[in-house]
Amino acid sequence: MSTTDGRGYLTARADVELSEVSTGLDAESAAWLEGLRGEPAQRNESVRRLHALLLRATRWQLHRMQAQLARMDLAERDTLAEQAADDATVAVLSKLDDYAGHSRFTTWVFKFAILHMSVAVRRSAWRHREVPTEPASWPYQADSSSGPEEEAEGVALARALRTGIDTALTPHQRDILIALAINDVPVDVLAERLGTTRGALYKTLHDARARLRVALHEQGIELPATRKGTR
Amino acid sequence: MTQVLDRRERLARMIGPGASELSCADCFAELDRYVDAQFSGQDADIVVPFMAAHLLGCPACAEEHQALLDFLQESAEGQSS
Repeated sequence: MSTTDGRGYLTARADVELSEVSTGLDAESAAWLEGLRGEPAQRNESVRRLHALLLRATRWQLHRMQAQLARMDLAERDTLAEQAADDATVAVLSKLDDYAGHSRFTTWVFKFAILHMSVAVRRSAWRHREVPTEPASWPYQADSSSGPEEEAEGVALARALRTGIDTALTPHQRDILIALAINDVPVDVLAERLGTTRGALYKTLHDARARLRVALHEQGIELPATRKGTR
Repeated sequence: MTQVLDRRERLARMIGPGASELSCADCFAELDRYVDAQFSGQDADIVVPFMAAHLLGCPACAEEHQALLDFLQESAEGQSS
């Protein structure tokens, strides 16, 4: 494991005082594992229950993201949720040995359902859309609602951003930054179009951002402090 | 489909969190542990270091993190009502 800046994740974890979630399995999690590793009849029943659980989660997530699927009818949406639950079930069963008991088993399996449904919705929403390679509009354009000082700062920042993007980034980094950070192309969609992975694209974005930060600093732009905490 | 973000949010999207952060793969690997820690009132950022920075920088992982947290919350509320 590694962080995006190449630092070993396990090593980095050792730098801080860890407060581990209990590694002992709760009764419900242990029962799930026993059922999924049991005799064929018991296993089949457990897989059926697992699929039903995951389908509840994929339908919930699809409903949450339904604004992105305005052109899809109800039957198609339900099929999409079923497919995502199928894919999540397969993923859970294939990775069962990876479950280390650091969370409740149900939390562990739900993350697969949320992931598969989210990716499916994003890809469906963009299925007939081109991925733009140039900014639809450059951010930080002067805006009539701004005061003179704010407008001047915005113009200076816009100029510095464009300079940084055009001069400090490689062509590939520029394309990825524009797609992900300016045009808001979902990372899964871009990964699918480029035949790569979410992780590879995010690493490129991470490196591009680092270069852009340096370029902005060199142009005298003071960047806001990093926000702390979780969402 | 460019989202309506204010200037500060757009800048953050472009320059990222500016801190050490997990990769997307490690984020997914640790997501359940992180969310369960949040759910049980532990300091999730100590349980899973570098996760918070990644969630600030990666909209897709952040969306899935929030969805998982909300789903667990709603499920718990449904069971208790």
